[in-house]
Amino acid sequence: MLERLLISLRPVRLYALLLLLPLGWFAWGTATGTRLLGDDNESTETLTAGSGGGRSTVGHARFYHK
Amino acid sequence: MSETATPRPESAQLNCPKCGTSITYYDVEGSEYYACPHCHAYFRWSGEAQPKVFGKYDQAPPTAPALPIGAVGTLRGRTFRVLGVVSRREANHPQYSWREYQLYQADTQQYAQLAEFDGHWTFIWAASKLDADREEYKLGDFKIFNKYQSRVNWALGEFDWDIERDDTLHVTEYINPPRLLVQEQRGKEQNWYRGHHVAPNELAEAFHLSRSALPHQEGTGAVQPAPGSESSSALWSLTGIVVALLLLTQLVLAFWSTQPILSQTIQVEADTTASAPPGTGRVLVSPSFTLDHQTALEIDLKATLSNQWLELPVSLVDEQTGRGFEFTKNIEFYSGVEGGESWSEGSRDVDAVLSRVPAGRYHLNFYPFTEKGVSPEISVQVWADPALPSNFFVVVGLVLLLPMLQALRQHFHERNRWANSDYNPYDAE
Repeated sequence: MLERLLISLRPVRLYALLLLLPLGWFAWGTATGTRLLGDDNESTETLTAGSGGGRSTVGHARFYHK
Repeated sequence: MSETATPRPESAQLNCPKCGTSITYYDVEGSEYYACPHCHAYFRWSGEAQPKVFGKYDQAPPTAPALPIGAVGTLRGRTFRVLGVVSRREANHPQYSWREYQLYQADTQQYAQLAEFDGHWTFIWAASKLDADREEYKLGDFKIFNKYQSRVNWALGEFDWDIERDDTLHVTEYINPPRLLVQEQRGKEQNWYRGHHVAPNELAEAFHLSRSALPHQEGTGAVQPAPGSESSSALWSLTGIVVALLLLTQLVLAFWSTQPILSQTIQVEADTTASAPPGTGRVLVSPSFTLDHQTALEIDLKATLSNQWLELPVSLVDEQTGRGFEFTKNIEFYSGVEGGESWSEGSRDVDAVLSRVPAGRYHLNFYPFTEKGVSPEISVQVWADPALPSNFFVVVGLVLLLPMLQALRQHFHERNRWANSDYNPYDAE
């Protein structure tokens, strides 16, 4: 059955290899705890942890930084 | 007395009864009708009888036929010679004209045709119960594409039937790309033909021509396969498998973290120091929690607000290094009854995701700011290794990109194909 499946997928074998890129990206995001589209972190000192984008409104954290 | 079989000559010559031009013909036993390449006279010459000239075509071929008369080619494992070519037009739509190349397979004495319309080629042969692929030509799988009667524009070469008599045929074409079924009806007489799309490259190779010698393709052919149609099912199978695997992984991840690493309810209290502006709450600090590996954190916040707002900057502080992650959430919830109908606006629940938080010991600091006199309760839950649905949707989107683009291309290909048909299913849209 697996052999038949592999034969049927033969015409798209190169595309299957290309798909390893987004799948690898997903696996990397999961393994490293990375949200691929950025997170809610607004701190400038840890911005490398995320892309700095995200859902929250630009807030007042800087005014209240301890 | 023994008889010896006389081998069939490969070709013979005759002279045009109108202009005297010497014409080479190849189907020595079968051909009876001829169109002179010089004066375009159309005549019958059968056996020893005197030739009968029916007339001459006013239209001359504008260019030499793409497949020269007499050319030999091997198409789909069968060797054919081009005997003649007829240019026809639809009787009711004379702007639609095409060319039919008559092919002859000498070893089996079988005939076939190559039809060319706007640079799109179809190989056509008389339907037979002996056809190996007859199962692929079930009428139920086909859609009607065109009905017409034809008229001859011009002709060249030799034919085994009267091409002018085809004017009385009622032709119906059914398509299931790349396959074609043709019904020809004259009174009660009915004949069926099968056809298959031929790519110009395949044809050029078969007849040893350069691709540029064949007419330029315009639009979409009636049975031209859609781009990527050959690998379409494999592409969707692969996409289905990959999406299923991603979904399974996502479900496993979603059920992975069953317990929050921090769950606490804190009460906002007004900051009574003289320097604090009205509405400022005292800084609230959560209990510490430990992360044993780098992870994403999801922080769920729920505030007991009723027609109130709360601005809540939050810091996640690494107790060893002092480095912090920060975010601010504005929480507001308003509700009421107006004109007998209840309404609500905003939400008491918000959440934030912090990405790639290193292993370490952390606590959360809250810096609430709200209306003067308001002191809501805030429920906090922190989850490590959340499922991150956005990662799933981003990657699924990427995986679906090519199949969707392919489906879009195929859709427009179909629309273009049917634009040439009186039975266009898209006309109803």
